[in-house]
Amino acid sequence: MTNNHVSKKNSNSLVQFEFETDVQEAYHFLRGNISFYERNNPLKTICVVSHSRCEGKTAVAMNLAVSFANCGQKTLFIDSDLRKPVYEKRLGSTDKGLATILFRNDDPNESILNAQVEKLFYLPCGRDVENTYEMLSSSRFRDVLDRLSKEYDKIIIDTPALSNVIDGYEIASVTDGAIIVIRNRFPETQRLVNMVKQLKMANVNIIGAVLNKVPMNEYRRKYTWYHDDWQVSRKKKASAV
Amino acid sequence: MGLKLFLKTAFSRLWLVVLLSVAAALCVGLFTAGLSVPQFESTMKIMIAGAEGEGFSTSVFDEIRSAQLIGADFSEIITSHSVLSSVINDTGLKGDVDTLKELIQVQQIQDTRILVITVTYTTQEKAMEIIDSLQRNFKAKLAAMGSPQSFMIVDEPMVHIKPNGSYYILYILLAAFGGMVLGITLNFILDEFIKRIDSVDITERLLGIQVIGVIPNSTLHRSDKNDK
Repeated sequence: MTNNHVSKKNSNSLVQFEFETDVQEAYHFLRGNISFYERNNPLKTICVVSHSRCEGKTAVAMNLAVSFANCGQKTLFIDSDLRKPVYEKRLGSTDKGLATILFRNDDPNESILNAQVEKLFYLPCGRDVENTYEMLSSSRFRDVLDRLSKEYDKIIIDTPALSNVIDGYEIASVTDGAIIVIRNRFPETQRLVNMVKQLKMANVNIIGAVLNKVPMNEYRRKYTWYHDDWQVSRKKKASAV
Repeated sequence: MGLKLFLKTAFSRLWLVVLLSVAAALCVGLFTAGLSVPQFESTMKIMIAGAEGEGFSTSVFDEIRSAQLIGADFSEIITSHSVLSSVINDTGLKGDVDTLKELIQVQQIQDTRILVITVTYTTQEKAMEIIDSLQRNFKAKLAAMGSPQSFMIVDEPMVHIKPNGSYYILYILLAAFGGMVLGITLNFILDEFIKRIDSVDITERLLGIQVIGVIPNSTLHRSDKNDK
C-alpha cells in the first residue's frame, strides 16, 4: 500500500505529493469514519461539497479517492464542475469528459483516465458547456452514475461550490451521501447553516463535515494526543539508546 | 432549541463557567472571611418583678396580659433616650442615641415576665461594658420614675461571638451559582456574536452534523520541486 496523496497545487499530474504523517493519518481517519458509517448505510457514490471556493474541497475529494484506492478499492474520481474545471488545465486539454458523456451520449469508459495510482481512475469534466444544470439534473446523469457504480467500488465526485451555482445540490441529491468540507475559521456560519438546511431539503444524505486547513500546530495540539504520546515515547527510547 | 442543544451551548466553554464560578466564590469567601468585622453579642436575662408583696393580677390570664404590657413598657424604657444617653456617657461610645439603639435588642419570652437584652458590638469588652451600663442606668431610671416594678437578673451578662457560619457558606454558594449563571450567559452571547467554525465541537453544535474528519494544512514543500 502506498501513501501517495494529492496536492491541489501540483501542476501537471494528479498524484505526486508526499504529505507528512499527520496529514496521511488525517485522511486515514476520514476514510475510516466513512467505512464505519458504511456499516449501516452502504455508500457507493460520495460527493464532496463546500459552501464557497478555496475551502480545499477538491484536494479533500481527491485525497479521499486516493485513500480508497490505496485500500484496494477500485475508485473513480469525477470532476463535475462543468463550469470551472480544476484538473482540466493541469492534465492538458481533454475534450472528452462528463460533459460530453451527458451531452453527446459518449461511452463513459472512453473518457476515463488512469490517475497514476493503482486502482484510481479519473473522469474529467470535459469541455465547457452552458446548460450544465439541465445536463446534471437529467436522467442521463443518473443513468451514467448507475452504470459507473456497477464498475467501480467507490465513486468520489468533486462538485462546484454550493454558494455559486445550484449544480452541487443537484449532484448531491443523486449520490448516496455528501461530505461537507469547511475551511477552518470559516466566518459566515449562518450561510453554512442555510447550506445544510438546503441540502437536507434536497434530501441529501449528509455523511458529515470535514474541517479542513487546520494549522498544523493547532491540529497537533487539539487532535493528535496519541501521535504526540507516540513521538514522546519514541524520543525517550532514542535518548535511552 | 432542544434541551440537549441548550445544555451543549450553555456549557460549550466549560472552563469559562468553572472559572467564573470559582472566582466569584473565592472573592465572596475572602471578603466575608477576611474583610468583614467579627460581631460579638452580650446577652442578659432579667425578670420583671412587681412591688414587694404585690402580685400582678388575680387571674393567670390577667397576669400574662399585665406581664406583656409591662414587658413592652420596660423595652421602651431600656431603649429610651435618657437611658441610652447615660450609657453613652458612661462608656464613652462614639455616635448618637439612634446608633446605639440599633445595637440593642430587647425581646420578651412568650408568656413569661422574662426579657432578653442583647447588645451587639465589634469588641467583646465594649459589648460587655454597654450591657452592664444599660442595666445600671435602667435600674436608676426605674427608681427615678418611682415605678412600683423592678427587675431581677436571671442570667448575668455573657458575651459570645455572633454566629454567622451558615450565612458564610450561603454567600459562597450564591456567589458560585451567580458565577455559573454569568458563565452560561457569556457562552450564549459569545456563540451569538463570535460565530466562527474553528473546532469540531462548534461545527457539530452550530450545524447539527457530525465531523468525520479534521485535515491539517501540510507544511511540506512539494516533492516534485526537489525532483526537478
